[in-house]
Amino acid sequence: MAGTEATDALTVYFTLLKADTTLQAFIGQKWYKDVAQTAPGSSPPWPFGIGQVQAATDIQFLSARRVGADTLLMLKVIGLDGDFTATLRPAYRRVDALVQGTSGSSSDVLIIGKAVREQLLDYSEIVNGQVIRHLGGVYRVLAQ
Amino acid sequence: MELEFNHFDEVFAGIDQQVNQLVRKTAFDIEGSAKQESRVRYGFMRNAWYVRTEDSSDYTSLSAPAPGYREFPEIAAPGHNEALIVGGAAHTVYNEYGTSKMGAQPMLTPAVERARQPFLTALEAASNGAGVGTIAEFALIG
Repeated sequence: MAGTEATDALTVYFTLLKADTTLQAFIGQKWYKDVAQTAPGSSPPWPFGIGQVQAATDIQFLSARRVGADTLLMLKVIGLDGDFTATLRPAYRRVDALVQGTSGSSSDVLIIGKAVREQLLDYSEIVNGQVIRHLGGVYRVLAQ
Repeated sequence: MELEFNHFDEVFAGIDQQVNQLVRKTAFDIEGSAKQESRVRYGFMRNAWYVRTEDSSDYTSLSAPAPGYREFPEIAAPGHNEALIVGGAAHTVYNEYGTSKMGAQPMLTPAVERARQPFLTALEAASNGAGVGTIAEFALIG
């Protein structure tokens, strides 16, 4: 057990999403963990993707042997409202097509079963007078 | 003349009472956890969490501590044996799921996850204690 199953599971899906050429056409390989990395004072690199661990619950036997982590991952795309139809919506549809029902693995973690979306995320914020859209989902995976 | 006698009404009432108490307890546990996980500047978002059931609410109207702080009106009551855990501050969603410049600080999601298995275990115990098997079995025979 690596001890970092949830974070490692997120890395597995980042690898999957960054490698997809269809998705690259919309947002490139701009996937960030937790928050977009931008220079101080500069605007975020619209559009881009964010992944974050929303919750992770260890699954373990009474013998204290941990068998995995029941994990909720947030995957969303963020961009200007004016780009919603042409970019954000098709980008997230592609994300969902790639992630929903998909397992995976790396040298650090094994995704047992398949990712299942439990919640759609669709909300907006206003930054400097611009409407910024967030479109994504929260996916449950069992990471070992 | 044939008289049929059973204790179904008492059994169902007992189950309903236990489920009702369990739903309320779980909701308040989740609310407490969400408050503990909340980012605090003025405490507005933390204090704006509340639980609404069919006949109760711990909603309180809060004064905005600074310009831009808003609170949603209290929501309508849910149905029987339902409870809603509500983040009343308008900016709760931006903390739970993040903004374009700020990472998320999940509050409700981990709170629900912590409460999930204890709730299911207690729910099954309640139905077993009533002598009618699991809730799933109960649904099948119902």
